[in-house]
Amino acid sequence: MDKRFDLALAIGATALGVALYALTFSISTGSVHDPVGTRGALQFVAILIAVAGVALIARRLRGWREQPRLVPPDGSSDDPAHAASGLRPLGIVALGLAFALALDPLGFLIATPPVLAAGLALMEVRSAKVLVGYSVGLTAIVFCVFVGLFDVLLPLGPLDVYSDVLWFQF
Amino acid sequence: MDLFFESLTQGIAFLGQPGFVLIVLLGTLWGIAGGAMPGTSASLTVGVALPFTFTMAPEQAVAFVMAILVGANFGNSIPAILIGVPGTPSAILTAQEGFLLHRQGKTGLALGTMYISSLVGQGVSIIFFVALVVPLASLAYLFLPPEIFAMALLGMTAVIGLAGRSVLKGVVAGALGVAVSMIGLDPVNSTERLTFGVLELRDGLSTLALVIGLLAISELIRSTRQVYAWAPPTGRFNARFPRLSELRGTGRPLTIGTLIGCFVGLAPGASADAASFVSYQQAKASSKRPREFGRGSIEGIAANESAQQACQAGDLIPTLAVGIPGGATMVLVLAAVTLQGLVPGPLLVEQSPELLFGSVGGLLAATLFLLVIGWPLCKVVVKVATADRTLVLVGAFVLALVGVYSLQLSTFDVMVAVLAGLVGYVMIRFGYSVAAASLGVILGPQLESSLREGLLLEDGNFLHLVSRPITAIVLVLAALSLAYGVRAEIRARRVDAANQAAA
Repeated sequence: MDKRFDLALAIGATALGVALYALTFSISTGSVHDPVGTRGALQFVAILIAVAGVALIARRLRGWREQPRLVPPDGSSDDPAHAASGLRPLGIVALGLAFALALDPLGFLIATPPVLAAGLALMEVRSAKVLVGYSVGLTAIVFCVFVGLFDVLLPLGPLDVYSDVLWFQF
Repeated sequence: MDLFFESLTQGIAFLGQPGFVLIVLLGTLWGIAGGAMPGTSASLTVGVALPFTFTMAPEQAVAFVMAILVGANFGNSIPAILIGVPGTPSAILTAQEGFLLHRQGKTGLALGTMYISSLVGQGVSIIFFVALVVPLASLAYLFLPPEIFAMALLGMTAVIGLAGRSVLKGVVAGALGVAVSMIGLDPVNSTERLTFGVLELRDGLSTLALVIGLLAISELIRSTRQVYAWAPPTGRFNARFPRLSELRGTGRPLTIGTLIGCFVGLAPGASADAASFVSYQQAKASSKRPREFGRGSIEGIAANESAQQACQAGDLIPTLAVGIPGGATMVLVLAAVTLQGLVPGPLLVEQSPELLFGSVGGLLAATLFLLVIGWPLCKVVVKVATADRTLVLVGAFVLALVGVYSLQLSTFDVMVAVLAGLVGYVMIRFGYSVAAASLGVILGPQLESSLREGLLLEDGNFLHLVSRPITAIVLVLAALSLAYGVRAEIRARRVDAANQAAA
């Protein structure tokens, strides 16, 4: 674990706590008054985050110079036998957000195969047969299961004109 | 006593319903497949399947989740024995002992011991579960808002203190979860909080989307850091079911594992990993052949397997009896409950006894399925374990997103789940407990409303609230669990420092 990232997260947590606390003052106190009020619980939680964040900063800074850049991990670490990429997870997140944005306008059947294929490509799958076959095949299976079995009307986008056929039930 | 027998008879009665049996069978198979895939945690296996429960009746939904957990705890040990890679961390010691036996040509003995121990651990723990959950649930009338507040706080501190490596990071994670749960309308005044004028935030963020994002999607995102495939088992192997005489000596470790699993599971925050490690150590300490441990010991496998199966039923007791989940997978059980419109808490079983019956039915049916199909599946499951990891990860990611969408047909929820997954991924990497954060999301509303109602009950006097007998006892336990966590953390950091100095 890189101690600089760990410190940055602790600073981020502190800032979040402070920001949250400041934001609570924009909350209306409402007409019904009780000992905690509309702001009290949130303010307590914000203080807790900020105080724990400050304590984490202090702990990380203690002996900063003596510590190596990589310190024993608090969280999960990678399998040392394989190369790891920090960018790939961000690519997957971007794909997830793109999928969410494309789902309504393009519909499930059009939006899903490119997202699946891009995900596989990110995971270093290079075979065109696998990219196309898996993406189209899984999209069809998931669509049939959700629409046909669970009666979930997945969006169709431009294919909405065929909804009579596509929104079927087993 | 009535509820005790009713739970068992109703649970057994479910076995006569074809729909219920089919759901449990599917859950068991899903769990076995998910458990068998190395690097796929039980939370991920349940999280991806969770949206499917929205079409089910409450008792079916709980039974489905139970079956997944039973299947996952069984499935994780098969690759552990055949390829030396545990499906989940709780099968690490099975991998240590079982893979050595496999390499010695005693594959059948290792798999057979695992199979019998899993069944015994699971079977006994069901009785234990019903025996404890019923009296605990019947105490629900003692729980007024102050006690509910204290119990919810205990749930949070236990997960922070016992499950994570850093208490401070656990506090940040748990508090963040609670803060996120407060977005939306205030429960008393109905004034908007942290909505920033965004219409979608008025009703708050979807609990399910957040929990699936934090517990399942985060795991998937983390797994994409590395691209590799698991090696298939080398050479042919003979998986003959062992003779009874070959299993001599496993009775004691099996009993130890089952008992320790049941009791460790009871403690909020303690996991199957802890149960299996403690059982293994105790089995070794009481063994007549302690030297075999670490060199291919069936006693080690028996202790480990029975413990991890029994732990699950123990884990369910605080979850269903008082509405306090003991860990990430139990948070998902409660998430399945909330998906059914039920409110987690001490009154859960009293108000919805069908949940208890469904749990018993699910555990019983899944155990029976393991009895019938568990052994023949061992050879098949190893193929699942060596399936293309890349295809599974990407497919599961899209499946989880579609599942979240299907809950409310909302793309906003999908975005929430993806962003919660990103936050969860960073938390996992840097040791901020995602279990604590998701527990905060689930228990946050209860914490706030019970505190406010409790204070109204005590005329706004906080001292009166915390000095109520049950509340005070539970709050002391909450403080103790945090203190225990701090002590364990200090010890772990001293060991790290010593290791660094030695290096």
